[in-house]
Amino acid sequence: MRSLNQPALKLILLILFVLCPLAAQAQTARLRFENLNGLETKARDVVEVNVEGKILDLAKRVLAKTSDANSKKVGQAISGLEAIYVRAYKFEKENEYNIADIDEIRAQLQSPGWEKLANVRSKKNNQKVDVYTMFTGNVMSGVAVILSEAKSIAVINVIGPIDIELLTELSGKMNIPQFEIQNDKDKSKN
Amino acid sequence: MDDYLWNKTGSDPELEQIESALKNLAYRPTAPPVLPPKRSAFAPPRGSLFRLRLSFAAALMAITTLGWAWFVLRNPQPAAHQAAAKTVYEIPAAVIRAEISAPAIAVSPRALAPGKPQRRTAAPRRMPANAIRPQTLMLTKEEADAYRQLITALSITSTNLKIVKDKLGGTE
Repeated sequence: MRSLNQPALKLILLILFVLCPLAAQAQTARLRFENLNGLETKARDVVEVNVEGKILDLAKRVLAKTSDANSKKVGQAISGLEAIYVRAYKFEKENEYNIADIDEIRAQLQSPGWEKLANVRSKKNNQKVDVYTMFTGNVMSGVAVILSEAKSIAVINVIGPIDIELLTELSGKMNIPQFEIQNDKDKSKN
Repeated sequence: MDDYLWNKTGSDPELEQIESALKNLAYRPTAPPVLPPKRSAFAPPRGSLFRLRLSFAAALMAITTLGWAWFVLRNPQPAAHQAAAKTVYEIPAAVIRAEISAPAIAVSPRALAPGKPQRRTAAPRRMPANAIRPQTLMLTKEEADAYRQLITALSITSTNLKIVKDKLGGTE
């Protein structure tokens, strides 16, 4: 009896050893973007940003140095931020990307832990925007925003708590020095 | 006899004879004796094997130190803490431009990669009359890059959140 139990126990321990990290990973707010890698060559404009660890610390340090009110609000909104990953692609023509690629990321948000905060569906430009949040206890542990339009897609993955309301309020008030900012209104004027 | 023995009064030839015999052994104040030199508990053995081992340890330590120095010089730390390497980057204070919030993706793509050439050059911007004067900060290149990346990410995030808010609020 004992000789039968020992291999079974080892097998159970092995399975637990393999499954525990997977289970832990399933609860993290980190999304996988690998299937978007091929879009870099197709897109006209590409933004890929990974801000984490030391880069985030440096950026927070700069925010602390700036004295204007909006920077202070930004610092307040992201004080608990652990990482932020952004993938944004803009295409010349419609249907230049495979909607399945973005749907695969939307599918990741169906895993346990993620809760839908809001979604927008608009026939204009075939726009779809989804906002998901993940909470660990009462603390926000992640936010995901997925936007898909006829000519553009954007995926945002925030790790750690952020003040969504304050960040929304700051839209358009965060200055990005030395970056070109394209405007749809200007474009239509031209 | 008794008096001589206790307070040295009177005379006692026998005692005086003993005193005289022992006089040379009486206490005489002199300089303290010189102690032998202090010896360490560890006395290195004198032998060629010990010297060989010592040389080997010294060489190993020197190689380790040189290797570490080579590694540090070859992979220098980011210059965040090096005041000498600081560059002036001008970061304008927040200038509110409402139109920035309109596009979903509002940032030039290649601008994030410092090494890559940009497809389109950034158009010079006119500062609004009511704009706040730029605030100049002393930043390292790493700090400036990190700040740009974070602000880019947050700008895109807030823009998309605003789209959702406006749609749900019926603004658009």
